[in-house]
Amino acid sequence: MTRALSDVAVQPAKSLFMLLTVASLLPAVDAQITVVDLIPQTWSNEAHQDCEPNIAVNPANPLQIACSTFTLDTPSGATMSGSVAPLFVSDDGGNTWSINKIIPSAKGKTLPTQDITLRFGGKSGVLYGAILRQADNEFNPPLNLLRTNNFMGPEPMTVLLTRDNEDQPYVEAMTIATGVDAGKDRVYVGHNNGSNAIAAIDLSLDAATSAPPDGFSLLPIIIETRNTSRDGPQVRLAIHPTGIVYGVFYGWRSGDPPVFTADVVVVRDDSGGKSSKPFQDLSDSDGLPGKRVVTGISVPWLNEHLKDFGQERLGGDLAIAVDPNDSKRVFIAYSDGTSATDYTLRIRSSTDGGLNWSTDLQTLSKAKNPGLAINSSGTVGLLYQQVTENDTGQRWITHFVRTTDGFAHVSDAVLADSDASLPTADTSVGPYLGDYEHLLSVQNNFFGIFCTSNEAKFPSGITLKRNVDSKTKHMRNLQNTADVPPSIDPFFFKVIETTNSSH
Amino acid sequence: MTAQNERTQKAGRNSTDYKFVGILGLLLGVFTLCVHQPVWAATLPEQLSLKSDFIFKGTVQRINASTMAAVPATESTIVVRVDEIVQAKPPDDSLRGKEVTVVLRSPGTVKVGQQSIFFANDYLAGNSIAVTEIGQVPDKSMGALNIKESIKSIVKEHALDPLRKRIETSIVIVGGKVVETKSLPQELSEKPESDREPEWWAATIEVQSVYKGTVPDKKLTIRFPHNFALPGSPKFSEGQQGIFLLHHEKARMLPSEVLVALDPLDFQPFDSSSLIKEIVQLQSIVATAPASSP
Repeated sequence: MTRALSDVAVQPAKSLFMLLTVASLLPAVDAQITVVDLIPQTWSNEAHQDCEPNIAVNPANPLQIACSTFTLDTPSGATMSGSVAPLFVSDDGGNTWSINKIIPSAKGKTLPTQDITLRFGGKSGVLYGAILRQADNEFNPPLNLLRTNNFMGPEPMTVLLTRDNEDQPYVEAMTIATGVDAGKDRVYVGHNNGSNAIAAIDLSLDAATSAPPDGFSLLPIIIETRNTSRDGPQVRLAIHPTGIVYGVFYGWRSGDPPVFTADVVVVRDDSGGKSSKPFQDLSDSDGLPGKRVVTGISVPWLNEHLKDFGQERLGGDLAIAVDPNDSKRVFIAYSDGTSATDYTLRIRSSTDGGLNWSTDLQTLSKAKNPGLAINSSGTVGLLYQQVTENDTGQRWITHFVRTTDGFAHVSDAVLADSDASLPTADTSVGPYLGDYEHLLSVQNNFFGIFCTSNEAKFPSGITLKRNVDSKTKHMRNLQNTADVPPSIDPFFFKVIETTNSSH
Repeated sequence: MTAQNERTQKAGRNSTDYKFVGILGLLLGVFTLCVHQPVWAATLPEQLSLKSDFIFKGTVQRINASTMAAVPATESTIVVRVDEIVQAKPPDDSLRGKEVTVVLRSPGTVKVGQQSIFFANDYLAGNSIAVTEIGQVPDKSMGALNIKESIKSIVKEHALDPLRKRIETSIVIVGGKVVETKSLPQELSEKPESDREPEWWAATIEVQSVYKGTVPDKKLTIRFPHNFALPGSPKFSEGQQGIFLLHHEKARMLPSEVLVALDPLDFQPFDSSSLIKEIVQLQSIVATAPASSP
């Protein structure tokens, strides 16, 4: 189901006057939103906690989309029945979805992977993945970097690199358009490296075609240059079409669970990691590489299903995006706080390549899972999920926000609104909705993925392929003879710009 | 059917008998087939059924056809009606009577109307199902019935392999009740360094029976991860009763002599008691049997 973004909500949020003013400035229809539940009809019995989603859209053919979540390989089994885990795939722009089991996994495990992110190369059509692979030694699920040139085919993804002691690998990729490296896929994986848990990046400058490890090194590039007890697990990257790469991470400076003191650090490499000192092109006043956007903030580490945060756990959130038309225009999202009560998502920007940063452009209380992207018109998209409370209890609200003026004004669409207590969190799975979700842009359009209850309200519309009772909105089993309990499902969405924004 | 249900159903029966009967049945089936259809029958090892996600009897409806837009029709794709499900993951009957797409190993190996037993792996699941063929046996043969029964026996039998492995690698197996769980004192525990490192807690088990190993006391203290580390590992609580398959594992802040139950199969209901006893006994016999002469 599709709905016009400007029909849904406009939220400059400071006053009714501003609201009306901005609403009058917006074109009648800016963009069309489509939201689709990824669970296919033949998996209507599915009722797992399919959380922590990621998405890849092929820039060369945006009809081709791949998504991942913590989804087991059968609709109703309690553990992996085989050794390959599902990928959600679409070749019609996300209107219909199939499950293709091509992710390396292990039989008998409760989760298909322990982390997974995906990205397509820019023009190659090659899909890359970064996972923490299920293995016999669960104390140390190894990092696997993966590749396939046929994500719709039945062959499992090729393992390019395996390494122990890594956390939260987050992959980005692009194809070099011009110059001597034209046509080569550059792949970057931000992660938390080694037993010391230091922010790091793996990269290959030509990853598409050669045999493993295909340009990846046995050792990663450490991007933390300051004293640290360890860093936060999130390392997020953004690639500009010219090859400039930005990264953002939490440098944990002191503390122990449940609260660390941290800096938010941005690094940059103007040659895409080719130089002898990669990711050191942005320095701070202490002379060290890595610009500290903020210092001495608190970041909670609460590894439990928090009753006062919609059953989710907390450990920091990061996102970063660079304007495809201006490599110096960068936005970041980060969270701080000491507990579920004061956890706050903040948006900041730089217009000089990360040297100087704005104050908070947005502060979103009890919000997490940011996704940031900037489209070819310069419009910034922000995806996030927020816990709110009303008379009936806590709710998870999933927002997609667009702004054309650096968050001075925003148009806000609620994608989903669900009871945060249903379903009850599965105690064998750490994240409830996920430690992350993702937003990206292709040309002028935004594509994203989030997880929430499949019995949520979807104010921007919803398409369900799995069986559902149209009156009660309850999920139904494959035979359509009985209800299936509500569960966490992955939801794809796309925002198609239908007119050029004028502000 | 879950592995646990299968275990419960099979409690009290000799598992080696099953394996013997299953393999014998398959060999008989293959022998019969070899007489009548030697070309394809010769390619039907036991492993074929174990490697298959989906084994079904089906009737070929259309060739050069597909039930899914995501699987373009080619000379390698056929549409098959599922007549009978021999083995599926998970085992349910929901696809019976439905049309599915089969991607053939070799084009031109089937005809419309042909009935076969298809050995296949999952490929795509969307508004329909597509599978990749790894083998097939025409169903008109005299051996087809034997094969189906043999496959069911073999698959059932091998469903117990993971439990057998956990029993074999366990140091101690006891039946009992958890009488206390508590966090460890600070000198025995450090805070986890990541969300994947266990926060170890202690569980005290009041031992009621010993299946394997020796237990010096009526109470046994084990450790278990109290946080989200090691997804699927049993999280014990006071009053919990069952059978504990206890192991030694190497991990930071886990002394080597400490017993743990970290695999989902390491805690079993008392219903599995007979089965676990049998497996322990058989493994003991195998372990103590004299080696055969060269």
